[in-house]
This record gives sequence, C-alpha cells and structure tokens, in this order.
Amino acid sequence: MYYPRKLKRDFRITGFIPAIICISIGALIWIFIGQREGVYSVSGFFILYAAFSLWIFIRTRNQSYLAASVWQLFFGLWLTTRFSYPLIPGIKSELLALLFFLFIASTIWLFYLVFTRRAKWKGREVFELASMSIETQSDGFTERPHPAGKTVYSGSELKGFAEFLRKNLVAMPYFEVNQIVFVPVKMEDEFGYIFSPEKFKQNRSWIAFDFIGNVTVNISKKDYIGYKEELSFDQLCENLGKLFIEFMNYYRKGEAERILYKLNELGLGLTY
Amino acid sequence: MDFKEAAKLGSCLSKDYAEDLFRLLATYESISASEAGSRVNIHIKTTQDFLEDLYGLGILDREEVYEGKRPYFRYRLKVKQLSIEINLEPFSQNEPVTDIRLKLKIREKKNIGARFTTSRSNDYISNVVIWTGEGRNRTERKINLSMPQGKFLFHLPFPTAEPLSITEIMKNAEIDEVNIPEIVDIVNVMIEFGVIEST
Repeated sequence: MYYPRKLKRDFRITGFIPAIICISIGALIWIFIGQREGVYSVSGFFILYAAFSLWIFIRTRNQSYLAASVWQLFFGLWLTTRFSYPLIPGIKSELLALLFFLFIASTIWLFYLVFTRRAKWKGREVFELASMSIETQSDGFTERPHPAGKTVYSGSELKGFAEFLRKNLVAMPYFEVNQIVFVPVKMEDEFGYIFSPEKFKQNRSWIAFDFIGNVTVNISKKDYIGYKEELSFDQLCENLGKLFIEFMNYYRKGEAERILYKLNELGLGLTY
Repeated sequence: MDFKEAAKLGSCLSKDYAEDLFRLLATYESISASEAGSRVNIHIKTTQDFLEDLYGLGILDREEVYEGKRPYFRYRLKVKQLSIEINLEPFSQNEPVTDIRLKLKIREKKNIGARFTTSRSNDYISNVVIWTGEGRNRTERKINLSMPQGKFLFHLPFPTAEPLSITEIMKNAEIDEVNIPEIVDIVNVMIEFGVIEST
C-alpha cells in the first residue's frame, strides 16, 4: 500500500560518522605507519565500538544493538587474524575457524534484524502515521500540550507497554512519579538520546500516559516544521494521541506485534 | 475607611519613627513639625509630611499660628485609638455570571507567541508568559494561574480547532461550577492580552 510522505527527507549521516572516522583513522595509519598497524587499529576501534553497542543495548534492550555488539566484537577479532603474524601468536586453526563461523553467524543475525527493521528507530514512522489524513492549515502551532483523551490500563500494563516501545525503538519512555512520558526518536537523532536522555527530552514531542488513564500529547516546533506542509495542529496532536491509545489497546489485547506491523507497513527507508 | 486611606495610614504606621511621633502627639497638647522633628531627630520636611498625612486622614487637627513673620501649623491628636477597617465586599467579582458569558465560544488566538508552562504532572498550565510592546518597550508579563484556571487553559481549543464555549471547556476539564468567577476572570484577562479569541 502506498502512503504519501508528509515529513521532509532527512539527509543527515550522523549514524555513519563513527564508522567513517574509524575507517579514516585506520586508512591514515595504513598510509603513514603500515598496513598491519592500520588493520589492527581498525580492529581495536571495532572492539571498542562493540562495548559502546553493548552499552546502548543495556539502555534500550533492543536486540539489534546486542547483535551489533557481537558482530563488531567478532569482526574486530577476526581482523587481527588476517596476517601471517597474528596479534596472538600460536592461535589454533580450529579456534580461527570457530571465530570465522561466529563472525558469519553474527553477520547473518545482524542483517536479519536490520532488514526486518528491528534496528530502526521508529520516530519518523510515528510522525508519518500521526499525520495521515490531516488537512493543511496554517498558523496553528502552539506550544501548549493537548489533552488527547482517556483510556483504560493498569500500572503494570503501562510499564509493560513502555518496555515494549523501548525495546522496539518506537518511543523512549521516561518514568516519572505519576506518569510515563514517551518520546519518539527518529533515526539520526538516536545519539542525542543515548548520550544525554534528559537533555534530549527538552523541546521534543512527547506522549504522556498518567497512572489514572489520562493521555496528553505535546508536539514540538522542531517536529512540526519537520513536515513538508503546515498541517492542522490540533488534528495532528489528536491523531498522535489516538495512535498511542490504539498502540496501548493492541498491547493490552496481546497484539503488540500489530504496532510494529503498522509502523513497518509505511515502508520508510532503513537508514532514515 | 476606603482602601486608599487604609493604605496611606498603613504606610504612615510602618515608618521607623512613627511610634516616637505618636508618643509625642499623645503627650503634647499641640506640637509643631519643627519641635517634633528636632525631638525625634528627623528632618523637618519628613516630619511635616508625616503630620500632614495624618491630618489628611482626620487623625490630627491643626491650627495655624503666627509668631513673628512666619505662620506655621501646630498639630493636635484628635483620636485616642486607631483602627483600620476595610470592607472587602466591593472587591469580590462574584456577580452572577450570565448564560451569555458562559456560552461565549473561545479558542487560542493564532500566532500569539505566548509561552504556556505546564505543571510537572503535565495536566494543567501553571503560568502564561505574554510579551507586549515592541523593541526597547517590550515587556514580559507572567500570569500565575490557580489550579482550576490552569486546567481550563490546558483544555482550551488550539488556534485551528473549533471554538468551544466556556461551559464545554469546563466540562472537559472537570472544573467545578464554584470556580466559574475565576475562570471568567482569566478568560477576560486572556482576551485583553490577545491570547484568546472569542467568536
């Protein structure tokens, strides 16, 4: 099914910057010091990056970051065995074969997660879905939050819902005394969230579910101007609230996979 | 006593030297500003202003006397007790709110540039900041809201939404009818500042 895109394209390459830096440094070392040192430095970077990915996995509980961490680790280790004078001398050939096998297996696992969109931060999908069937109307923006209605759920259901959205990178939850605030994170914005979640939340769009069933929505100016056209602001807020209420209802019925299906059905690119 | 007179008397009583001057006024049959000022060790002009204020409030009597070339006033205490009694009834805006006012359809005005600060719990507005004027004359006005007012503004329709009546918004916000006067008051203020438009 074709859905017209309402958000502007995002051409940022934030996600690739660490890899570009790492490979550039490796290339410079290769040129000025030597081939072996260059490859070993890239290997070192990948092992360090594996630790970083593991840290993101701990924060988000998203499987793809665990897969990335494992892949980066095995790739880094595999690189060290590529020369006739390996970093660890006397390493057994069976161990090398096992390492290669694990590297290939982790590559397949990672690719599977990437191509099934498990590794995608789904903020753009959320905003695209919220903007469907909304007419254009100018000068509607206001910084006020919008009461999006009421729904029924228990405290444990809300916490479970929050964990689900976090694990699937739909929206990052902020646990507060009387509510849970969900902040959708778009691809290329993820490092902002990972490095400084509290700062990230400021001036962002959010959807808050309190523990008595009230749902409140706030759309930030940054996200509003991310749309190609000026959309009717009240409708947009209402749709975003309804979307999350619908997500909650799916979750309560045990049909949480439908949330991911709806988001993935939009068919947005894997890297934006 | 009206509010302005009470404020004037309050201001007089709050002066550091007020007790000393009243002691003199209560002790002396009559006293001039120069005598009282020199006795309390304050400037004659300060004393004169204080005594004139009390005369204006009807607490002192004064008599013009002539000694040589310059006439001057001698002041005499008229009362033995001071009391401040202010009727606050006229301040109340609890006049019956008409149906027409409650049926007024309102919504937020477009491009007002006001800043609404939400409470920590995100379920009401705690204050509204409005900027008025241009250039150097631009001033910021912050209006802190009561809880019912905050809930009311939280449920106020957005600039592009259909306007709703005050009654409908109050119903959505679950505000009690006893809060109608303060809601109408904040609506009037917001209309005055151009934050809300009525249709």
